[in-house]
Amino acid sequence: MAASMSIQGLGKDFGRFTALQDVSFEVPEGAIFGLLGPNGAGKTTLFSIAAGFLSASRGRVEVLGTDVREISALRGRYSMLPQDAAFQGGIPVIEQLVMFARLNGFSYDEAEAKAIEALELVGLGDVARRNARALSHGMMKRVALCQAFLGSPELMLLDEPTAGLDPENARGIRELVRGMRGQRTVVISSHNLREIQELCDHAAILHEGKLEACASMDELTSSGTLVRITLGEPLTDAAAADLQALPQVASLERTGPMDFNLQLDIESGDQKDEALKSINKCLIGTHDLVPRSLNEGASLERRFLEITGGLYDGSSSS
Amino acid sequence: MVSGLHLRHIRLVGSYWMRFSLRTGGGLMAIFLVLFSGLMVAHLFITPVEGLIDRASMDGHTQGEAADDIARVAESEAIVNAVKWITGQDQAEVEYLLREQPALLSVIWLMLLLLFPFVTSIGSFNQTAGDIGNRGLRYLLLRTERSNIYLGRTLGTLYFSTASLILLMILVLLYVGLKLNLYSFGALMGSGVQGFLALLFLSLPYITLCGWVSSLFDSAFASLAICLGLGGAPIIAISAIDANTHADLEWLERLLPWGWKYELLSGDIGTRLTAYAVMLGFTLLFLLLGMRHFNRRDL
Repeated sequence: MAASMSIQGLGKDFGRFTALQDVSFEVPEGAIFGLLGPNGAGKTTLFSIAAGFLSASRGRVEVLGTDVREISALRGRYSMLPQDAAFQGGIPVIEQLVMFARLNGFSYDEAEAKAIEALELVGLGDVARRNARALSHGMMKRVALCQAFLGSPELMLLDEPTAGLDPENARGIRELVRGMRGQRTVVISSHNLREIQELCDHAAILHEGKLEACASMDELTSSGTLVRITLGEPLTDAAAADLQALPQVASLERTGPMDFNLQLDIESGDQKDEALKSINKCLIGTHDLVPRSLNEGASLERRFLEITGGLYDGSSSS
Repeated sequence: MVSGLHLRHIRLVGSYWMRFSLRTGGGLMAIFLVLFSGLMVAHLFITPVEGLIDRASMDGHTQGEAADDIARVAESEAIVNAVKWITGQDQAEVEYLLREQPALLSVIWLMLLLLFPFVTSIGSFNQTAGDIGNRGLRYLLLRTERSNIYLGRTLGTLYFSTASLILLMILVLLYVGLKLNLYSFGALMGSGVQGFLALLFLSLPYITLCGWVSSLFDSAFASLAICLGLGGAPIIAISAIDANTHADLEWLERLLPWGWKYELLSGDIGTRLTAYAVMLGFTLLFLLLGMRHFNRRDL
């Protein structure tokens, strides 16, 4: 699959502090790609370089096949929701959006239509004429998001798109992003690991300025080969031994009296179905143990915690 | 440094910058300041002249006789020497301004030339600094080249300055023309155009100097402080480095546009054109330095 964004050996120093160190990865075309990391990991710095706000100390970023230093060649094809960027207070949001759309190459009438369309997309059609200063934080966040939707960008960078939004609005934004799958490439930075796991098909994890992992979500969460099971009563030693004896099971890890993980030794989806049947048969049929829940893959949070050594600021989860 | 220049974008950024500034109050403040300072200066000189006209009228003099009385005062050695001392200009230049040009307007333009760097600085200090600080520029950065944003903001500020200046000129000329009725229409217009060009050309380098300063900071306040220093410091320094007593240090003044200001009103067309060219040179220099920094800095 072609890459919408390619980051090669990217580094950024702020004086003596190295914010990014030799980061390289690619964002596949049409993917919803999550960029994860604890506070200070370098997510916003990476986004800022990719958007041309900051210059890289080393390495390069290519967006849609163009070096981001030639940003004008990408006009209208590439958009971003920057973190904490302010709109002009005292000016109706529609006028500011019209200006952005006109810079994207639209005539005044087209720009106005695009701005209204984008505002309606984020559920703010009724505040078009309102002054930016008169809007709540959540509304402003959605207006900022709306400017990223102007026109039809092929690639969007969304820096913390749901931070500060109430659950209903956050869900609305997630639905919006989900609806873009396959139509455009979206790169999302977020602290909300559940949101990233739910939305993204690929993710990269940054930690202290370094890329620690970059893979498809299936690979990151081992969803193809890991099964998490919770029983209604404790797992007996005999049942554990029988499970481990199954040919599709590579290992068993107890994570609690009634919880355990099975690492499967399989290669295809069909084999997985067979493996799950065998597991259920062993538990229910042989040992009369009923699984209360059976989940495929580890949570992204767990993987994240393994990589970052337990650093997870989930405060902005919504 | 100037790759990706897009005239439509420069005009768009400039016109929106001007409109938004007007509506958010910053622009209105700048216009108010230009008008206020300009009209205060005009008032300072017009009031005594009005007094002279009233006195001449009480003495039974006609309008024409009153005008002659005022011309005699303006052309007196005392006034010529005073203007010569203040401006450091030679005798011929001062006589041109006071005797060949409408003296009242010349004195107003000279005083405005003293103040205008300061006034221009207040109207130009926030071309980019505030929006760098609040990151508002980031919405523009993906849509156009940095050079277009920088030049657009400069252009918007220039629109403002020019509009304020035109308004000020119209008010001063109308007042002097209609109320005092001292000078012919041709003399008023001639002096008005010369004064307008002098003030406009003096504003240009200060607009781009402030644009450069503005691009150096993330804070509008820091930019304001430095711009006021650059615009206002020469006014203070002029008392310390007075060309009449420290002629050998006159070259110091020439390092800034400030040092060339009176040549902008010169009676010698060659000198005046040279002064215009120097102002344009400073304008271009500051513009390029500012744009170079803006294009390279982290935003």
